[in-house]
Parts: sequence; C-alpha cells; structure tokens
Amino acid sequence: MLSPKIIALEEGWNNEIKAKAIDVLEDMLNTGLDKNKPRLFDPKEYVQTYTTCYNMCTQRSPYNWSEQLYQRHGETICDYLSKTVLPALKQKSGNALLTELTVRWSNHKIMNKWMRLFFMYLDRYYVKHHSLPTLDVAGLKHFKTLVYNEVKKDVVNAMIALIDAERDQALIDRALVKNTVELLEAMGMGSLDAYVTDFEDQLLASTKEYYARKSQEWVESDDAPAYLAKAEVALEAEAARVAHYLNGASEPKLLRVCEHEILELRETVLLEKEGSGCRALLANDRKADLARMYRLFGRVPNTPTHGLPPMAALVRAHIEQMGNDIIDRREARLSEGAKDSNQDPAFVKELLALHDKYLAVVSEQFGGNALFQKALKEAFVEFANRDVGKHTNAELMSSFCDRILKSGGEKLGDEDVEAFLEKTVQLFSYLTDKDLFAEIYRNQLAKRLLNQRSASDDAERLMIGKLKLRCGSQFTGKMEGMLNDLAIGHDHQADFESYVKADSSRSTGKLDFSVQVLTTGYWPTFASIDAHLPPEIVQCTKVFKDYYDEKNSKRRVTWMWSLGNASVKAFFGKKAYDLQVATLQAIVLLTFNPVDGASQTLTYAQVAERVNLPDEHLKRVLHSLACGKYKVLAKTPMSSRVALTDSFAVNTKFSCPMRKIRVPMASLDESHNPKRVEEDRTVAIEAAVVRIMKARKALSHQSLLAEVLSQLAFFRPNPKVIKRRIEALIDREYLERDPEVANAYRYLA
Amino acid sequence: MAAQLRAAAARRLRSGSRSERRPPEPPAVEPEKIIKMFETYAEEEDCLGMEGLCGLCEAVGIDPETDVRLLCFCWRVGAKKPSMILREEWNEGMCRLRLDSLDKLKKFVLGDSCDPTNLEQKQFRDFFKFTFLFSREGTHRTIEKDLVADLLPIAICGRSCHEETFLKFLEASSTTRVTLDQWCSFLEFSVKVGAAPGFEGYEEDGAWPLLLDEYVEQLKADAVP
Repeated sequence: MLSPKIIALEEGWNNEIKAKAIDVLEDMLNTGLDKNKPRLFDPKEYVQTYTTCYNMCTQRSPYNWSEQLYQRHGETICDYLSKTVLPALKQKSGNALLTELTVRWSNHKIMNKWMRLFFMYLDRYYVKHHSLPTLDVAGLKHFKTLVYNEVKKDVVNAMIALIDAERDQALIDRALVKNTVELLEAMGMGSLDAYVTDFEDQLLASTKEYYARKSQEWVESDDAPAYLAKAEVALEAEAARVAHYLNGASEPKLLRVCEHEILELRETVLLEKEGSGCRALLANDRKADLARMYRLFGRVPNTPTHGLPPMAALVRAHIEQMGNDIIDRREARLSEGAKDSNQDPAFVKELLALHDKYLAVVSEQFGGNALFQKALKEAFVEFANRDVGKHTNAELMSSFCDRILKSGGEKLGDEDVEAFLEKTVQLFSYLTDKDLFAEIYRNQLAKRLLNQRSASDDAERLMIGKLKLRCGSQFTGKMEGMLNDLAIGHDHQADFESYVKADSSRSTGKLDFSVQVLTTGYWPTFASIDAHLPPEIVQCTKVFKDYYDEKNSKRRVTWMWSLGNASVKAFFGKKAYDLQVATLQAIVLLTFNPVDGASQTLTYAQVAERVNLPDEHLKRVLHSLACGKYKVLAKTPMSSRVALTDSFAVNTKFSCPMRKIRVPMASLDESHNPKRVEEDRTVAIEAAVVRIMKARKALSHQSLLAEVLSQLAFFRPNPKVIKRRIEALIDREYLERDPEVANAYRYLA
Repeated sequence: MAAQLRAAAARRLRSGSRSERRPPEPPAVEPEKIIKMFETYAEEEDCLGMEGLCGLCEAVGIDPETDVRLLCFCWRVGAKKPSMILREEWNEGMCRLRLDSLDKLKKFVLGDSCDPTNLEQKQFRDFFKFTFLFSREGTHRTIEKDLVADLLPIAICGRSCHEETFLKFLEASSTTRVTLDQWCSFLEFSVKVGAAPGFEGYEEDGAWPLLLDEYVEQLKADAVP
C-alpha cells in the first residue's frame, strides 16, 4: 500500500500555495485585472491549490498543518494590506483617495474570495471546531482594522466634501460615493454600525451646519414664498440624494435635520414676515404659495409654536379680520344714515361669499386639514354673532331666506336657490342664538304661507330639511306642522264641500266659503278680533262649526278674521268689479251697502260701532279702501291719512279699466316677539336643570352649569341667567342647596 | 284631648318606674293647665295669632316688636305657620317643654332657653330659617324688603358683621322681596366669609345667590378709593 507523500509545511506553503496561487493572485491585483480573463484561475490551477491545502490539513498529526495554514491565511492578507494597499491609499487624498479606495476595496473582495476558495477546507472543519471566524470574515476584519480604520476619517471628509459640492450645484461622480457607501455598509459586518458611526453622524452634522448657513442667507435675501420654494427644492434634492447613493436608512434622519434647520427654526420668522408672511399670502390670494407653505410646515411636528398650529392661528386671525371688516362696513353704513331695516341682502351675501372663499382655501390649499377647518369655524363664530344696528344677524339671515323663498323676491333658478339656502344654513350654524333665528324664520314662514307668497312648496321643504339635518327635528317641528296644515287643507275643504251638499239645510248661502284650519301650536299667535260679521258670513261659520264639531268633538275652533281673503262683487253704476280684498276689508265694505235703497255716509265712529274692529285694524282697512290706489270709498275730507273725525261713503265716481282688482292693505308689523324667545329660554333652562339633577341626584354648581350649557344647543345663556333659574327652582323646591357640601345642590324628589 | 295628654304623661311615668334605677322624674305636667293657658290668650278657637302672641308677651314682660325671644319661643314650641301657634302645636310643644304655668313660661322665655346667642351654629341656622318662615305674611313665600330691614337685626343676633352694609345695599337695590334662599344664604355668607379681607370663602363663580354676588360686587366697588 503506497501512502501518499507527506507534505512538509514550508515546502507545501512556499512551493505550492504561495508560489502558484498567492503570488499569482497578488501579481494580478497589482498589475490590474485582465478584463478578457473571466476567471482569475482556471479550474485546473485552482484544484491543485485546493488539493494541496486539503492534503496539508488532513495529514495525520504531527503533520496536520491546519492551524498554521489558518494563521498564514491571515498573515498573507494582513501583509498585503499593510505593505501594498495602505501605503497606496495614504499617498492620496480627496477624490483620488476615494477612487483608489474603490479599486483597493474591489481588489480585496477578489483576494478575499480566492483566499477563501483556496483554503476552503479550513472553513469546513477547523474553523468550526475551534470557533474561529470564517476565512471570509477574517479577511474582512483584517481589511477593516488595517485599512479602513486608518483611512476612514479622510475618506468620510472627502465624501462630505463631494456632497456639499453637489449641494452647491456642482456635478459630482455619484458612483464614487455610492461605492464608498457600499464599503461602509460592508464594514458593519451585518449591521449598519460602521456606516452610522463613521459616516452618517458626520453627514448629519455637516448637513445641519450647511443648512443653518444657507437658510440664514435665504432669510435675509428672500421673501417667504421664495424662501419656501428654495426650501422645497432643497428637501427634494436631499431625498433624491439618499435614493441615488446613500443608504435608505439615512433618509428620515437626514430629512429631519434639514426640516429642522430650514423650516422649524425659521418658521415664526417666515409666517410673520411683513408683506409676504402667511396673512399677506391670504390677503393676496397666493394659492400656490399657501399650498406650499401648508405642505412644508406640515412636515414639522405640531406643537403650539411649530408645525401647522401657528399657521392655523394666523389663518383664523385673518378670516376674523375680514369678517369684522364686513361688519364694520355695515356699522358705518348705518351710522351714515342708511335705513336700519330687517333686510340687508348685500351684507348677507358678503358673509356667504367670505365663507365660500375660505371654505375653498381650506379644502384646496390646506387639504381639508382639521386644524384649518377649526380655524375657519372659530373665526366665523367670533364675528357672526356681532350684531350691529337694531336687527340681529339672525334676523338678517332669516330675511335673506325669506327673500329667496318669497314669490316676487329675488329671481333665481332652482340650483341657485338650493345653493343659497345651503350656504345660509352653513352660516347659520355659527350663530349662538339659533332659537332666535328659528322664531323669526317661523314667523316669516307663516306670513309667506298665509299670504300665499311662497314661491315653491318644494323649496320651503328643502330649507326645513336642511335645518332639520343640522339641528334635529325638535327644531323644525313647528315649521313642518305649518306646511302640513296647508297640505291637508285641500282634502279638508273637499270634505267640507261634500258635507254641505249632502244636506240642503247646511247651506253657505250664495257664498263660496272655504276654510283653512291651522293647528294652534305650530303657528304664531294672531290677534283674535271679535268682529261683527255680516249675516251671510255668520251663517257660513255656523255651518262649518257644525261640520267640524261632528268630525272633531274634542277640538275648539277660533276664527281669525285678521287673516283670510274675500272676493267682493261691487257695482259702481253699471259696471261690476271683482274686488280681491282681505276678510276685514270685506266686512267693512259690506257695511256700506245701501240701506233701504239709500246710500250711506258713515263717520269713522259709526263704522267702528258696526264692525267692532279695534282702531289699529280699522284705520288700516279704511286707509286701504279710501286712500290707496283704488279709492272704492270716498273719504271726507280728502287726505292721505285716516282721522277719527272722517266720514266715508261709497265712491260713486270710482272706475277702473280692469274688472278684477286687488286692493292691497298694509299689514301689521307682526315681527317676532323677543319676549317669547326669552320665555322659551327660561323654560328650556329650567327643564335642563331639572332633568340633569334628577339623573345625577347631587351635583356641584360648576358641574351643573357646564352640563346645562352643553345640553342647550340653540342658545348660550349667561351663567348669571342660569343661576337665577336655579334659585327659582330652589324656591319651588325642585332642588335644595346641599347642607353638607358648599356650592352644591341636591335633587328633591 | 286633655285625656290623651294625661294618659301620655301617665304612661311615661309608668314606664320610668318599670325599668332599673332612674333619676326621679320631674313633677308631671298638667295638660289641663296648658289648655287653659291657650284659651286665655288665643283670640280664636284653634290658633294663637298675633294678637294673642302680643298678649302673651305682655304677660311675660317682653316687647313683641323687638324682642327676639318671642321668635325663639315660637320656634321652640314648634309653630309651623306664619305668625301663629296652632292649638295642637301649643299643646304638644308646651307639654314637651313642661310649661304648664305662666311662671314656668316666664322663666323659660326670659331665661337661657330662649336666648339665641347661646345656640351653636347648626341650631342657630335652623332658628334663623324659622324667623323668616314665621315672619311671612299670609300665603306669601317671600318677604318685602322693608320688613326684612326690621327683621334682620332682631333675628341675626349680632352674628353678622355685614348686617348694616347689607341692609343699606338691599335698600338701594332694585329687588323688592327677599326669598328664603337669599335669607339663609346671608347667614351662611356671614359665617363662612365674615370679615375676611379678601372675601376668602366667597367664590365669584360659586353657587351664592345672585343677590349676594351683587352685594359683594358693591362692597368691592366701594372699597376702591
């Protein structure tokens, strides 16, 4: 049996491994790699070296050279690195250093690879048995210790110099930096520690210093929008830089540093810059600049002094200013003598336009961000409740709607009507005294409905629907009730007519008599007038009362003569006219019918006695009939005012080309009753207090106040007012003061 | 009625002797005397009204208009309706207080028992409340401020350093009547806040009645030179 020849250490090392593999390898590296040769060693050469190593490691002790080979592997690499590689690097600096390093690193990777391949057998058993670093890792470590640690300072400085140059718009060799970054990553040996500690930390520091300087320049030379444009460009460039040649983990840290220097530290100065800060941009409608400002400051974390909150505060201040200006202008107009009526559509439209404008700004420029929505809302709440003149903004808004919903009011298409109503409801939502608005709106609605002045039932329901959506059905219950009364009116009328026809004893005589029933709770209170009616009308009311009592035994009907219309046939000479008048006017006219063939002249007092109308109504009626456009009555003396001493008669000389004439009458100014709103509020507050105390049994004064305020949705009472109600409730023994706890109350069952 | 009282008194006596050693019972009260006293002074069948009380005061020797001891007596007796003591109240109260003769009554009214200055805070509060309730006119729930001006000095028994200033304020204010709540709160205020220089104990946003809020406001305004 032939045993293979034992290879001695030096012999094997020097003759085989070193001469045929290592020296060759080093030579190739030193002279430059031949691009044409795909593999440095062809398989035959490689196998030979591998086998030598293998044999030397598997020989029986004392000829097992594993330990030595492992050692010499390391030494070879170290040797090469310290004697060849490092000196070469030390000679260079700046970009040349980086270039050289790239080459040397690439070489080292190759060397490491082949050294590992040659000595691979060591990796299989020796390394594992002795828990040593693998050949690959060992080689890498040597590079790190002998080369990298020696040059890293200069290398990093060179990298940062390149980066700074690129920031200043120079073109640099990005691949150079990228390769060096790859080296840094490798030097971490599984982690990014080397990259972070040796390079990134310094990069962040130099970036900070760079942008501190740059932003100072910009602040001095540029206005806010120009600064922000540059800032945006810089931030984008930094992000791109990371993508191109840095490690991705650096992105958030790098951007944070930049944002801090460029945006966060300069924020206050920029926002408040005279002539170009946030408020100036808003005033000049600089949409793109505002959007950019929002984008950029949105990157900074929100605190009361940084990020978006200070910007929102400025937006709010601006809108408040604009709103207050509108109110101030109205105030000025009134003090200069403009009529202080309950209508000011131009003013309302201005407010609506302001709201529209900034609603759009918030949604388009500020991305609908909640902070800005809140700013808009708070600003509007501030000035929308600023009333100037005799009429509250609530009233002006309601009248504005009245104008739109009235026939003969503003002429608008359906879409415009809806748009205006919708916007008015939005504006309404900022009012604190919503119950006041409701009261006024109800009164105006009643007027529209009863005088048949409502342009469109659909539009009325639309508006009520919007209010209901915002405030709940309790808010709009009465309004809906009014509309419903009228809606079912037609059916009731048909029913009444068939009732009349059914029995000849139920006759309305020669009169066409129709009745509209109103449910008391829904409608405003009307003056009840106990007029003396002509017998024809009395007969009709009797028939209706019988009809109604039959249908609804539990309900009581009260006649409202101040409402309603009549059509009176009047004969002046040969000509017959159809006079469209109010019921009260009809009653008065009928008293002037000739008695026993003789025409009558009646004094005011006589008329008053016959019809039994209070002066405020009678005067209006007589005025409309004797002093208006159509003088169906003649007044003595002729004048434009009705005096208590006047006398009246049928105007025999009356004539008019038309046959059908509407004789209008001035309506009583039935404006809303502020007392009613006060009463309703008193009731609402007391109900809330009782409700809360019943549920909680005992509560401190402050807590009770807070609860009450939160429960009252439609107005905001002064705490003093609430206190007064609490005292009233104590007096009526609904609650008592807690004898043991100061400033607290207890519920009395 | 007398029989019932007598029976009740006897029962008490009996139950005493049945149990262990007890201090000797004071001499029994004679209900007929109590009833007779009532009939002596009462001007009506079932109640001792203002006239009757005046007569009683005369007999005892105090001035019904200014002496707080009348009020204190009515309070101790247990009067529930304004300006009168009902027959049942008199009978029950006098019996309980063991006053079946004018002498005993005199001793009672003129002595410590009817002196409100000795009452401790909680009891005084109750008494003070009583003075208001008792001084109401008929079915009114509140008292006219002129009457309050007369009543307060008597009822407060010097326990408030705000007596004068408050009455001055009340006179000038637009309030015409004072409620029970305001009356009692005045006492609370005097006790809790009293003469504290910065009004410690009073909170502007607290539950004090509005009247007192206005009073303090006035004081603060007056203090500014």
